[in-house]
Amino acid sequence: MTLVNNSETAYALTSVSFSGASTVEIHETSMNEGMMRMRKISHIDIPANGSAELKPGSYHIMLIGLEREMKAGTTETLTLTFSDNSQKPVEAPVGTLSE
Amino acid sequence: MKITIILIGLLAFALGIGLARYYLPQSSPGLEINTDGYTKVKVIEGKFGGDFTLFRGDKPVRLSDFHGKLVVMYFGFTSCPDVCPTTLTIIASALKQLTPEEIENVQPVFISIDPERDQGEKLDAYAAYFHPSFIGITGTPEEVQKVANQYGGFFIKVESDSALEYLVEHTSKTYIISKDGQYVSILPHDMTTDLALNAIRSGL
Repeated sequence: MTLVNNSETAYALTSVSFSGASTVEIHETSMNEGMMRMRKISHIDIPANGSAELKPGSYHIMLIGLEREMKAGTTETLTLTFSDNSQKPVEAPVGTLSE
Repeated sequence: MKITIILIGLLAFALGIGLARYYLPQSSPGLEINTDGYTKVKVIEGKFGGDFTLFRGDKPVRLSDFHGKLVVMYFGFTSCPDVCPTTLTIIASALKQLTPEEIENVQPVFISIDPERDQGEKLDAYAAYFHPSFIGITGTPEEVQKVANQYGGFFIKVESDSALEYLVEHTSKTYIISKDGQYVSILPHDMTTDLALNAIRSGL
């Protein structure tokens, strides 16, 4: 998922909500001298006239404590909240790991 | 005179190379053969690789139980969001390309480095989710750390303000142990399915 900021103002993704998990967090994975490291972060910066990408090995959203089973091929709605308190729903397709 | 000096220099240089060739294989921890994108290392008991015992549920599992099979081994943990499932998926994709005869000679093993959260059926089910031939094993934190160190891997538990309470930082290499248990191929964290498949097939 790429978050694109076409404005002259820097924004940030500050939180994500999802009805099917007890907790939703923003995390970052990085490779540091052969060690795979993951940490919880407070936000993801989206620079003015720039973008931020969520992808494997980098920024991702953790859905912790899933409250229902998810089926591949369906979609789930996550709500993104930004630093200006605006919100945007995104449709996330549920995939299988073997893709 | 200059020529003599150069000749002496050349001789010393040649002698140096000769000595290095003679001594290096003995001083290095194992014979390393660089092949296509991965390293193959000779097992030296007490120094690198070799047998160990961990547990599948409450049943002990020894690496040597799989003598005669190629063992594909990966250290990770089930709450790992990113690199573990990605690597296990790559291993599984390679396994799915094997013929039924080939897969009979392969034992994929997932070793959990997070025994506090990963035990018994949960661990086995997680591993089997990727490929039915996978088994999940673990032990006490000390036992698992020892096995990881034996193979040059390491991990560390890090307290976190996440709802997960702690996260585990770890190396992410895949180890393929030859059927006779004598060699370990070490595959990098960013391996492709093709690399994994080649490394598996070349050991069959």
